[in-house]
Amino acid sequence: MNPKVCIMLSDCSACSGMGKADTERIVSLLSQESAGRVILIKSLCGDEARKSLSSVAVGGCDRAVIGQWCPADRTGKAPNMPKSIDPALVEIVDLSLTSDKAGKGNVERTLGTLAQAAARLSLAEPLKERKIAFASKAVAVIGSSGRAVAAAKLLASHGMQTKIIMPNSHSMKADRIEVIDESAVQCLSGIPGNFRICYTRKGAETETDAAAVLLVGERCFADVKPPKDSKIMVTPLEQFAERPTGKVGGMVFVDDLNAFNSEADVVVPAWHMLLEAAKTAAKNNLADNIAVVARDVKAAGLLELVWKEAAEAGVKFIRYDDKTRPKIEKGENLISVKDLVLGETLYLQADVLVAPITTRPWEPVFIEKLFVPSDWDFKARSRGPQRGVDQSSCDGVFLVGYSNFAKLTDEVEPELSSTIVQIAAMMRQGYHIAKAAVAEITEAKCSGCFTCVRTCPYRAAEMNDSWKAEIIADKCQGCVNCVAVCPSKAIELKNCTRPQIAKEVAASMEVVQ
Amino acid sequence: MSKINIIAFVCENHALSALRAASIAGETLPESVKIVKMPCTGRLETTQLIDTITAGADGIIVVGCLEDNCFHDVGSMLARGRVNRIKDLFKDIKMEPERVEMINAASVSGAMLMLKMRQFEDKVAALPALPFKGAIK
Repeated sequence: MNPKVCIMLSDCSACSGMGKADTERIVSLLSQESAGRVILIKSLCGDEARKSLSSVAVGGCDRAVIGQWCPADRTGKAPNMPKSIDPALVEIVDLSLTSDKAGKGNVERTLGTLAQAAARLSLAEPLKERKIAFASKAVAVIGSSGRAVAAAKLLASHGMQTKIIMPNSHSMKADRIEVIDESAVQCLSGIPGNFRICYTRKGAETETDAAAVLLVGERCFADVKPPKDSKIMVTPLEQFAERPTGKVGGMVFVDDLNAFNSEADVVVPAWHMLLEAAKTAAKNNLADNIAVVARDVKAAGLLELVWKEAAEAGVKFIRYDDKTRPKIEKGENLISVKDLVLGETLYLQADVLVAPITTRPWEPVFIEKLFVPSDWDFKARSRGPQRGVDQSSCDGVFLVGYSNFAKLTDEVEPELSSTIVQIAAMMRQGYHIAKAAVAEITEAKCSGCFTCVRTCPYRAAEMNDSWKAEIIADKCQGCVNCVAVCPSKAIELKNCTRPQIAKEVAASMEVVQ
Repeated sequence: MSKINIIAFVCENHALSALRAASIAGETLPESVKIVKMPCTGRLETTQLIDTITAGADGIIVVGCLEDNCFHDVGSMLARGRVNRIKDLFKDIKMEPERVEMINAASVSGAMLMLKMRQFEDKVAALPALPFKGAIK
């Protein structure tokens, strides 16, 4: 049985700029060309057409093309669509692009555009979106800063079960908050409603589940945690004063090794804190030798007075070039830094090493291990002036950036509120809508070459036990990249098939000839 | 109606919203350009590009997202590779490689996209007609 496509076109001359004669010509030409398979319903406007979609079935059609002229009415498929109609079988075509410069519609081009859409739609298959109920009820907060704690408290106060995954420095007790006392998060994977977070706890790999994930800062992904007896202290500087250390021989403060020179707006406030902390340590006589390792940036001149005060208190400064950054030897408190003045490499043995919370002194391997759905651009978001409050466009994973400098909880709460509201709305909904169009693999054709597994940006393709590729439908976003790369053409996505595209291309040629 | 025929494969994410923005701003498509929507330009195969030429198109534009900001991460990068491969192939068979072009558009760069499309149309219109046009069925 051939599917019947119904074409709906507005005969309103205000939007199309065409006279009644022209519209009627389009109607007659379309009905001729399609040999009775295209039925045309005249309607006032695109919006009206959507409302009258339920009348499509009257003409014996099961799918519709709506030609839209009105520039105001270009909202796509979302509103006013009757629920009984499958959105996969309705195509809304923007015709205003094809009119001429005076805004007058062109008969041939209108005809071509509509015929093209009808050609594609005649091979389309109905698809249904799937609702996946949340498997977990908890929201996980990954992060260790005061901002993370504030976020967890806010989430709990909104009645959500909250898990906070952070290093050992805090001990907090509150209703509905579960503190997972570990920071070395190894991976994050899954779909909204059912995320899996794995981390190492006392050397053993453990995992937990969450419906939504809130990522705070970057420190939460530190790969190696210093052993308990070590005096290496990677700490938020604002908490430096609260940590009793006792008098030691050497204390070294290192600035944010991950920041770039250009990030003066980020670096300068962080430096201020660094210098203040060093100054406090010197004044309280916490160590015999106190050194600050910081890079040579012009913007530091803004803090000249602070530098001076710290220097008078007995703090020594070692400056390094941005190209030759200091190295912190793994597991030891030995810092090697190339001094700009002497032109030599200096080795500093620190009894206590203090670094800002954003520093990852031990080269992280987590980026390879970590998987966050690709909407989250890790590199772009974690650097540069965007480091403020930020929200992810990816479903279920929410990003909250750095505070940039120490802030009180009261200051942080308003910044977090919009993210918290989004999470609350998501949790209240309670289900995740998976994409209707997902790639499907014909297993008999699959040669097991791993090409789709390597290509898929969402990691939805996996190999199964019999070494054939498999698409996890819940993860698939319908981007069709795997279809094109598959050498044995085993993958296909409904409503974007090869015959469909060929037919659409052919339809656009026919009108020209 | 223009004599040449250009197919534009447009990704339905950033590139299509660029077109929408352009149409709201009152711009119109060049006469010979026909739009074929794609979920992502990474869908395009080299064989599809060849088939489009043999079906009677004089030129092909592939409009994808910006490469470091692709909606589906890798799609526009893959598409650019395939377009370059087709250009090499055209050079080998003594056809004009200018007949295929990749344009990267952000969702705000509608005017730029239209300008590039118009330039492409002019370029293709100046080329000699394809000898096999309409001969292959």
